[in-house]
Amino acid sequence: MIARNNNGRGGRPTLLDLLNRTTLRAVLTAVLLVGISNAVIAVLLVRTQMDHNLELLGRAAADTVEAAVVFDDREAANEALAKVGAGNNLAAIRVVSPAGEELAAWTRAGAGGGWSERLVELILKQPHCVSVVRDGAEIAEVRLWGYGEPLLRFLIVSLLVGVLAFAASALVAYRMSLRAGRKIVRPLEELAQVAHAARCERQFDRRIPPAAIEELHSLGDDFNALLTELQSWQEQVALESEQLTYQANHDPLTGLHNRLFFEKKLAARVEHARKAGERLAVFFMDGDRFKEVNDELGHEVGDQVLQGIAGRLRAALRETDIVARLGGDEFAVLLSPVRETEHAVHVAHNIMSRLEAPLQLPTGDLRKAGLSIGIAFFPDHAGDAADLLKCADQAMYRAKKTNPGSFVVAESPRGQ
Amino acid sequence: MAAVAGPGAPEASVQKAVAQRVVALIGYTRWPAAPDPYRVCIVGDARHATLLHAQDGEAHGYRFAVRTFAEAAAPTADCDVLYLGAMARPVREAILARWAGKPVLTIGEDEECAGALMFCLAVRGDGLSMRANLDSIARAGVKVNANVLNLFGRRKSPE
Repeated sequence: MIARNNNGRGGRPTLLDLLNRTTLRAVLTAVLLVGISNAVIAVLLVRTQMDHNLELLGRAAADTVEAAVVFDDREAANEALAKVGAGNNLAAIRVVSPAGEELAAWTRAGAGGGWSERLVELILKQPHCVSVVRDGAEIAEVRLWGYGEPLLRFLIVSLLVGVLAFAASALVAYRMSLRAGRKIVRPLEELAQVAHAARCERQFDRRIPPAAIEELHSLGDDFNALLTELQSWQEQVALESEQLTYQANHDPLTGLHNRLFFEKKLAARVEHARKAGERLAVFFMDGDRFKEVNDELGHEVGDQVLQGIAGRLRAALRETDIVARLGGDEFAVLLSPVRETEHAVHVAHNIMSRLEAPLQLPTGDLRKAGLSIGIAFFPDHAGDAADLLKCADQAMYRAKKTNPGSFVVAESPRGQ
Repeated sequence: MAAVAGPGAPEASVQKAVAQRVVALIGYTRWPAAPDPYRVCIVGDARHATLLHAQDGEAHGYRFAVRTFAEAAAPTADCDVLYLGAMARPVREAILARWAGKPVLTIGEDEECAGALMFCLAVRGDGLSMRANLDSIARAGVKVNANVLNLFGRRKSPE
């Protein structure tokens, strides 16, 4: 009746099992109690009725048999008994004289010794005796035995009806408990799913739908509120981490990438280019007479000049090119891939032409900010990132020495 | 007394049975006015009714006054019960004719139970048998309890 194989994980019963089992037990107890008390009442009623019936039949038999007894007419007495017995629920009637002599008797054909008789004897005092009185004296005694067949039928039908009633109420209770159980279990399952998603997949945007049961509803509400807090907390953390990442990779003054990021990228691109057989170019750039600006106009103006240079550098390059401030007034550009030297030269010209126009300073002064550029190619000038940057740096120094504001391509290593 | 009783029924038990039946019939009969005592008149050769005399006085809760008459001197009044011994049918009918319509219970010793007798007793081989003449009972001035009539109703009147 109870599905024990339907257990949850770890051999623990599921909530639904527990509910079903509890409901079934309650129904079983209720139906059994009601059934037993009904059966007891029914048996008592039947017993009273049968007793009454036997008394009436006994009186009727005594009446009809009286004259026959008085006239000692046994044939008539037997016929009278048969008349009383045939139409009624009697197994046997006997008329016995006060001396104990049997005067007349009638027995139902097929009755006696069976289950039904034993059943009647169980609930009823057998035989039922009624005196035959004539002129104030007892002239005989009528003894009646009830016929159990109808009682047996009644009990069997009662039992069947009881079993059917039990089955029907068990079914109804099972369905109701299933429905109630679903009302309880579904919100809990949703809660579990959402909690699992939040824990394992960091999905904080899922919410538990409203439940039909007050306690579960408020539990869901509280859980949702907790999820909202977790979500905003998570977003805050993500934002902060994003900011930290940005700060780690960027120069705070110009918003360009910083040296750390540039060196990492350069190393990675060199590796990639080595494998792919591609060329790439690195520009090493240094501001011309930047120290003078700082000294004459102060660091703030110097910073603004650096920001202006950064803006023009970005404008001169493609999105895929990397431009970084390596520190002070040093900048670097990474172009990859570069098919022809001409392309790098073109970019250098572009940078220089963009720096032709003087920068507008907050003081209202206009000031030209020149850059000396050293260009080195991989794999032409160096085999790794550090050497490549060093080559570009050396080329930049040569440019600055010979003609500030120009660019120089690194010399090819000896032997090439 | 002639031994009419069969081999299995000695005269003593027949006598006892006759007295018992007569008293029982009296018990089941209602007179217009309840007699006290019951005047029992035995007429003629009532060979099985000698024990009936023993009922004179008080018996079974009733009071009896038992008298005997010769056939020729049959009473015409002062009897509540008329017990006619064995006698020729015309004589018996003549006696009964004089009692027609009067409140009297008539019992006779007669095998065939024809004529105006209400109840007939006959000794057979196996004992005493009793018959009722429903027509006579219906016409009688006394009423007989239907329970008693039921005892005889199931036996059709002879022929």
